[in-house]
Amino acid sequence: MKKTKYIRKFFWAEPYDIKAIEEFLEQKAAEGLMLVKFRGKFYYFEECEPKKVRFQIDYFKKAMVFDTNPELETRKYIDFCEECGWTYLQGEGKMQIFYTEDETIPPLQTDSKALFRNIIKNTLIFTCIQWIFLPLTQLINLGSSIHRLLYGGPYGIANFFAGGFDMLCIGIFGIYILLSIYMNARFVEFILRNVKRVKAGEELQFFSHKNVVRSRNTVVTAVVLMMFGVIGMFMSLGQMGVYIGIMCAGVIPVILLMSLLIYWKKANRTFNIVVNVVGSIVLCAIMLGGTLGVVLGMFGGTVKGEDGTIYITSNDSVPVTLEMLGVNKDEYSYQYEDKEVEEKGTPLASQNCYSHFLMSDGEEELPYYSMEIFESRFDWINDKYREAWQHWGIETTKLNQDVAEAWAADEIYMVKGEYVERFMIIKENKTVIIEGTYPDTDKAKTELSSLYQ
Amino acid sequence: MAREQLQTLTEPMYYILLSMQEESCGVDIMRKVESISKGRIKVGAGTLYGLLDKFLMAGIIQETKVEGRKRSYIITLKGMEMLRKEYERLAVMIKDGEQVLKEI
Repeated sequence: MKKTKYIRKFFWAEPYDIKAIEEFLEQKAAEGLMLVKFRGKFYYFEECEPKKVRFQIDYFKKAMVFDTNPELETRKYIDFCEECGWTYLQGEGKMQIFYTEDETIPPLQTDSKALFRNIIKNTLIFTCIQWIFLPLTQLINLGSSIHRLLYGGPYGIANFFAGGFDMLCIGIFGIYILLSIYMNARFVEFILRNVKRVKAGEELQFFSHKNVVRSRNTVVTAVVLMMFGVIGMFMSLGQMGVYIGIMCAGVIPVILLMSLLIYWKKANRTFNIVVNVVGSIVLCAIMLGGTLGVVLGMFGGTVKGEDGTIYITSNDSVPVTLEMLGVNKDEYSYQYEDKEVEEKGTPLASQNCYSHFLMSDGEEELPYYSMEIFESRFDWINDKYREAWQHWGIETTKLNQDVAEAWAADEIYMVKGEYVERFMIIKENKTVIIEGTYPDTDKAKTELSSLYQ
Repeated sequence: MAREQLQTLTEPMYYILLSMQEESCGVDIMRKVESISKGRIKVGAGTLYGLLDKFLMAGIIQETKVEGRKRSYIITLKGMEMLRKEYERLAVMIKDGEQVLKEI
């Protein structure tokens, strides 16, 4: 059988924008595109002779949100409307689409009060999660990012601009919350516009097609911006981003499969409820697994044992032990090597960290070095970063100009502990923090300076 | 709730019941309502279906036959009584109105 090719059009409209959807479909029919089916906000058309068609959207009270094919009660209602001259096209949830070419038939709903009530109920069911519940939960994320910026200290501020994660969080959640405020305001405006009209028994006043198109552009722009933000956020997350990416890669096929199943020709209400419940459980499991992956990624990584050498990737803020990684051997009989490279940056600042831990056997002290290069074209961000390091230094000494010149730097600061050597080298927009813990301070100095050179 | 709503009839309800003196299907009712009210009242198919459902539940009308997709209904005695009461209420209202307005 030859598969019919449909022309797909996207039209974003909220459940209370029924007149705009009707107008959109009528315009398309006049242009020679007749609606065949719809899936959410995607409408599928077939080419036809341009014609004048009246479309009507009605919400049938007894249909359920899970319905994609009409159940008995809905079928009766559809038959009744078809007997009265309307042709049924498709339904989804409570929403039913009819059309006719007869201009004399009265509209499907002549009782504005019942229509208003149905629209409000349906809008609340469909939008409470995306425009009320989720934005409220995201307020916590937005709050924690703003909190880190305001109370993170100088290093926190420098990190904020270089890492970009919190910056993107504020951007994404901020846009989402603003968008939800906008969408809720539109809905409230629709209600306020019509409360008096309903009481007076007048016809409802809907947003025009033009207005809905304008609002759709706002929504699409916001969603595109958020998508860029999400991609950027993944990139700034490094290893954690991979976990979240895998989590999303698992979520998307499940959602696609669910939509394939619920739009199946034979899908009835019970089937759809089962698909939704099972699908939600699977989605929750993936999300939970992904979250666990993110959490585990913060605490420990993989072990690759080869010729007595074990490589551990870990987050340097959390100590990793062999026990945590499930290795049942004496810790000191191994040679550890942990190399970590963390490179992050935004157009405002960049921060690259390289660290290297090594332990030949348990008797010796743990040698390690780390180097952090921070760069920003803005002086005040640079100052914040330098301020943070000076703040943490125990006894910071500014080395004289000869040393600075020898290191090709503008200024050099040094902190010296028993086994620690830390230098802060400043050159124009760049700050290099180089630090080492070695049993032998001379060795440290040689290695650190060779590293810098 | 439904019963409470049906204690007084709205304008479309009154005309729908008026047009159901004999067995009629949806289209018949829509046409009759329009013709009795001389085009003033129009009832949409969706609205009519909702109201007929409400009337059926309250026992004001009954289903008489189902021919394929076509369903026919007729008013019951209970419905007639309700319609008459509504008519009398409206008649009293008109009489009272006439008395007061004639004096002005």
